[in-house]
Amino acid sequence: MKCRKCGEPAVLELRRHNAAFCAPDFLEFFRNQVREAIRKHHMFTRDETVLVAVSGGKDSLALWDVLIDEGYRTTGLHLDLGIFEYSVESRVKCEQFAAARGVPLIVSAVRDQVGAPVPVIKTVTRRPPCSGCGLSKRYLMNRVALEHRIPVVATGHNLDDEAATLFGSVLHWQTEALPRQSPALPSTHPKLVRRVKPLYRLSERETAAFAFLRKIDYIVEECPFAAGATSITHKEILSRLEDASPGAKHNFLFGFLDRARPAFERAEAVALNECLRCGQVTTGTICAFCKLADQVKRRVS
Amino acid sequence: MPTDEWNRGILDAIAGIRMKVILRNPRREVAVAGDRRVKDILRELDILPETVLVICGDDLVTADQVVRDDATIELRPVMSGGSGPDPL
Repeated sequence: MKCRKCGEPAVLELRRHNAAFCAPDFLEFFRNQVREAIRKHHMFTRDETVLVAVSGGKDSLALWDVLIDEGYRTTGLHLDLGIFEYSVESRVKCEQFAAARGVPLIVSAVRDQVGAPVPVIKTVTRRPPCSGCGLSKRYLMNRVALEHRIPVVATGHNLDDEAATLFGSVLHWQTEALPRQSPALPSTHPKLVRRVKPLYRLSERETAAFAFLRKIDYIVEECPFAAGATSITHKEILSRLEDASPGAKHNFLFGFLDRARPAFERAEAVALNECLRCGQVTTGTICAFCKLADQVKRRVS
Repeated sequence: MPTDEWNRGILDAIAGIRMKVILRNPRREVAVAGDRRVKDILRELDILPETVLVICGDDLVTADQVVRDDATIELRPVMSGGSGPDPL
């Protein structure tokens, strides 16, 4: 198999693009896709600081690597979830990455903010672990960005993540979730920062290949709570489709973004309030994060 | 007293199965017959090519490449879990 650009031996085949690339040309292809995402959705400018949410996995560290190389001003944010050895190793990967590149990293522990680590939250709430974990992550990313006066949070969500989320929303016709499925969510409240996903044009195999070729030391082991997660099941189904019909995931997501999403946008904006307890944005009076923290406090004490 | 692993190694050697494949999550090793294309090895292991990186030493290997019988390859999964859609 030869590189489509230079004819040298290829290291990666991208069936959905009917192409293969050598290492240097793949890295350039990858960076071009990130540049296009940032440009098309006006994600951020070079005058702004970008808070990059990093888990220690391939996607977020690949994203941070590209943004640093592209000359963006970045600060990393790692949320220590307290999930046994997995979280210890994840944190070390982020700290080593930041130290090697001389970029700032903020570390915040869920245990300190919620009152307990994710495994305890899982037991207390009796909900799937990804539920309390996701809620805490989204809340803390926004709060840390506000505290540091950073206007935008970038996450490592890739094409597979976005296609799987869309698949789950469509499967249950969660029409209220569809307008929010976007590579870039603007700030709709002074206390809500912009959220962007510069890797949405790239598959997770492509981000894994980028991380490997860039020799990024990321955590390969999966979160111990991910086994059996619905999002993983959806990804497996979509991967079977992709194998039978290369480009299926891309067409599903991009077709939605280009043609279907506008039809689901609300005629009227949802009223946003400030949580009476913490001041963060909520659609109610007490935000879901404060309710979760209360629940944890009651049960743990 | 020979161990099960030792016995399996002998049986694999007799059957001509020498190529080592490292799998992850959990990390384990299996032996398969080498001197075949990567895509044939993946098919035997029932692994979709889109779900793994195929690593041989410091290199990525494409599905059409033939892997030697004495080689070791790693099939590194690329799928990771997510924590759901954005609520606001």
